[in-house]
Amino acid sequence: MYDLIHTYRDRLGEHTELRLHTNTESHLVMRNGSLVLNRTLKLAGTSARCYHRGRFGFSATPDLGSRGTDRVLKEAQANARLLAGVAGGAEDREAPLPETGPGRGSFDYRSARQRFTDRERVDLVRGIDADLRTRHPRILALDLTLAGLAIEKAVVTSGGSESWSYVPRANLVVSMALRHQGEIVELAQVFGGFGEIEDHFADPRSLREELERLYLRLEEKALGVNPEAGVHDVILDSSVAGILAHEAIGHTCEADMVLGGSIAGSMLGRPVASEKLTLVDFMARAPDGEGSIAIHVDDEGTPCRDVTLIKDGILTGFLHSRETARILGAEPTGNARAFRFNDEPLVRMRNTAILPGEDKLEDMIASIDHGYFLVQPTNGQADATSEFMFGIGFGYEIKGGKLGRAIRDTTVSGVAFDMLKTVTHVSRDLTWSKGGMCGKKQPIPVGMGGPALACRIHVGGR
Amino acid sequence: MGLTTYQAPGPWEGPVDVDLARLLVARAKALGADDAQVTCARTETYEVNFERTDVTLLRSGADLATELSVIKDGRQGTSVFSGIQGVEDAVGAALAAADAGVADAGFGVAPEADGPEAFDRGPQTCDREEMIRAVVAFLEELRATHPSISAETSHYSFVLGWRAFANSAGITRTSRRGAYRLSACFSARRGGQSTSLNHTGVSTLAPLPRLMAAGTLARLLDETVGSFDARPLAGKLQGDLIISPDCMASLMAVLARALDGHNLLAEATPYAGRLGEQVASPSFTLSNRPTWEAFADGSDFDAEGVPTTDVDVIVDGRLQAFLVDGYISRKMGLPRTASGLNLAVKPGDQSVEELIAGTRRGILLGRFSGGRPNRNLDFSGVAKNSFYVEDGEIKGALSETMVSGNLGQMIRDVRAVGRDLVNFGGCAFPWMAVQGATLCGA
Repeated sequence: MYDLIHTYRDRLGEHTELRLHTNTESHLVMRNGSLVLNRTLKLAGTSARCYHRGRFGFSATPDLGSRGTDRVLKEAQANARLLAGVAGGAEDREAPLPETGPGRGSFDYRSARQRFTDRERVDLVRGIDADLRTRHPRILALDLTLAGLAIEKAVVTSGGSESWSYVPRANLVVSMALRHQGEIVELAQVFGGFGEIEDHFADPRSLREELERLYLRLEEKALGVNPEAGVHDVILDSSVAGILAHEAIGHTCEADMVLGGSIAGSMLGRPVASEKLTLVDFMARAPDGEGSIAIHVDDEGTPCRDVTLIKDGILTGFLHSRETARILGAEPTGNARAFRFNDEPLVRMRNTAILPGEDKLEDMIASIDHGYFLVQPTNGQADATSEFMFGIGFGYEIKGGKLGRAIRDTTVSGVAFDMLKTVTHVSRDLTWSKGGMCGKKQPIPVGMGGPALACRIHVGGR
Repeated sequence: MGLTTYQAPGPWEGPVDVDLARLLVARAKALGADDAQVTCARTETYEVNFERTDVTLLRSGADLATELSVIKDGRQGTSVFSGIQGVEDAVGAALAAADAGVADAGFGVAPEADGPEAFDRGPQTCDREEMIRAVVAFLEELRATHPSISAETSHYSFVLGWRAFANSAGITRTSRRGAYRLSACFSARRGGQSTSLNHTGVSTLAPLPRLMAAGTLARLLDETVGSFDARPLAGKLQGDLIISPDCMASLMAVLARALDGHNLLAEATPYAGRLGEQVASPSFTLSNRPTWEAFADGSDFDAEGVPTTDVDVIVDGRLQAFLVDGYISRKMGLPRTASGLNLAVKPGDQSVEELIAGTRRGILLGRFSGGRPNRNLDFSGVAKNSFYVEDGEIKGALSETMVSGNLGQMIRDVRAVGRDLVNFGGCAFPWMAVQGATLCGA
C-alpha cells in the first residue's frame, strides 16, 4: 500500500494532503508476578485533509486501499466546502496557505536486529520480575510494562510532497513499591528509548545496575521526608530539564497556543530567561543523534527544520503549522503531526531541548546552602500564562552544599518566563527522555532533553 | 461463511454485526484456542472544530477496531486491529501471545450473563449543517458576551458507536449509542495579559440547543474573564477547598484507581482489607453508575460481554465495594462489580454560595494541575482557575498557588456537599467543601 501512495497524486484536488498511516503497538504488562496483558495492536487507515476558503475538511477510514482513498478524498473536500458554505469564508482566512519546498524522502528506522519472539519478550519480563523479587523480598508491588510503538506514515500532497517514514520507540517501565511504617512508597523509572524493543533489551543484564539503583532509591525515599512547601533554590537534574523545556516553554511557543492567547505571543524578541539558556526544537534526531523521535517531513508535507525558541535568554521563535504560519506571517517549520490515522495534524513539539552549558553538576550542588536536588520527573502540564507544573518522583534535600535525605513525592511549579530568569548555572551534559507522550486532543510521542539547571522554583509540600 | 467470504459492512455502511465477532471466535477455536472473546467496535464521528473565535475544521470518519482475546491452556493473548484487513494475522498474533504467556486463574470468558442481548440508545444520525450553525451561533454569542475569550482545540461532535461481542461460551451482545459531545478549552486575553487555560466537556443524547448553556461552560467563561490580575496566595496556611464539579471529575478518578481490584491484587492501595469500614465522612457517597439513563456515555456491557450494573462503592462514608472486573473476580474470588467507569457523588443540601459563605479561609478550586497522586493518595499541585475565599467571601483570583494533602484524608474531612449535581454525560458531581488542605503561595 505504502509503495503506491505516489500513484494517488493525480487524484488530489486543491490543497490536499493524503496520508496512509499505521500504528503498531505491543504491550506486555506484568503486575506483581501475574502477566495480566499480552497484546498487540495494529491500527491503520487512510486520511485526507483539504483546505478551501480558509476552512479545513478532514476524513478518515480504516481502509488502506484504493476505495478508501477515493472516499476520504471526496469526503474531505466535501467537508471543507460544506464548512465554508455554512460558516462562510472569512476575508482574513481566504489567503492561501504558505507554500513550502516539497518535503520528500524515505526515513526508515526499522531495527536491523532479529525481532524477539513472543516467548522471548515474555521471558525478558518474567526474568526481570523474578530477579528483582529474589534479590529484594521487601518489594510489596512490582509492575513491569514492556511497550513498543512504531508509527509508519506515507504522505503525499498537492504541493508535491511525498514522504515515507517508520519511527519506532520502545520502553520498559518498572514501578516498584514497598511498605514503610504503614505507608506505601513507590518509585518508577522508564528504560529504553528510540528504536525497537530488541535494540534496548537484547541483554537484560545490562539493566541490572540501573534496576539496583532504582531499588536503592526506593529505600532512600521510604526513609525520606516531605519537602517544605515554598519557593526554593533547586538543582534540576538533566533528566528533569527536558520536561521543563517541554511544559514550561515548548507548549507556550506552539503557535496555535500563541494564537489562543499564550503569553509568549507578546514576548517575541524580549528576554524571557537567563542569558545562559538556549532552547531548540529539533527535527530528525537532533544534532547529537540521540533524540527520542525522528521527524523529517511533517504530516502537511513540510520539510522540517530546527527551531530555536530561546536564544541566550531571548524568545526568538514559535512552532508552526502552515495555517499558523499564514496567520502570523511566518514560515512553516514542520511541526504539524497526527497520532493516529483518523487524527488531523496539530502543532506538536518534536525533540525539544535546553542546550548544555559549562558548569559541573557537583559544583552546582555545592553552591546551594538550603534547597533540593530534583532527580526524577513524572507527569507535567503547561498553561497559556506560562505557568507550568510537573511532578517529582525522586529527589534529595541539599543542606550546606551536600545531598541530604531523600524527599517524598512532590510537584513543582512556576511561571516559566519568571522562573527561567533565575537560572544561574547550566551543566555541560545533556540527557534525553527515554519516553514521553504529550497530550493535546491527541496523545503523541515527543522527545525532551536538557542539562542540569540551578534555579528557584515553587515546591509543593506539607 | 468463512472469513474470506465475510462481507463486512463497508467503512461507511452501518453497524457492525455480530457475525464477524462469531467468525473470529470460531476461527480462533479452530486454530487451537480453548476459549476466545471478541469485541468489534465501529465508530462514525462527525466533528466541528473551532479555535480562537472561528470554526476551523470539519472532521468526519469511520473506524472499525476489533479486539480479540484467546485463552489456551490457561494463558491469554490479545490482538487489536483496525478495519478487516489482516484478520488472519491478528488471530495468529493473539495465539502466539497466548502460547508465550503465563497460565493464570484470572483468565477466562464469562460463562453466562443475564441481561438483554441488544442495547440501543440515542439518535441514529445528526444534522450536520445544524451542528455547524450551532457552533457559529455559539461563537457569535461568545464574541458578544465574553469578547476577551479565545478558544483552543475545541469541538462539538456527534459520535455514533456500535459494539458487537461474542465469546466461545455462546454469549453475544450488541450495543448502539449515539451521543453529542462538546469539548471546550479557552483562556482570556487582555492587552499583554493572559489567564489560565480552562476547559470542560459534556455529552448528551440530544443535540445541544445552545452550546453556551452546556454543563458548566457559562460559569467557567465568567470565572475566566474574572481571573485577570490573579495573584499568589500570601504565605502558607491550612484551609478549606471548595472543589468544583469539573475538578471533582479528576480527583474522583484517582480515588477510583485506588479502589480498583487491580490495585488490591498488587496490595498497593490504602483500602486493602478495609471493606465495611468508615473510610470517609458520612456525607460522602460515591457510586459507579454505567446504566444510568441520564449518562449519554454510560456503557451497556463490559469487555467480557457481561451487562453492566451499578454499584455503590462508598455509602455514607462506609466502603461497600471495590471495582472488580472479571479477571480480578476469578483471580481473587471476589464478586464482579466493575463494568465501565461512570462515577457519581451523591449531592448534599447546600448551594455553592452557602459552601463559600461557610469558609473561613480557603480556595474555590476550579482545576487541579499536579503530579500523579501516589498510591497513598498524597497529592500536590497547582490550584488553577481558582479563587481565594476568606470569611465567606471570594477575595480574588489566584495564581502560583499550590495545594497539597491526601485524598483519602480529604474525603474523611468533607465539611459539606453541594446540592447542585452537574451531569457531564459520563460522570456527575456536585461541589464539595473539604477541610485541612495545605495552601501555599509563591
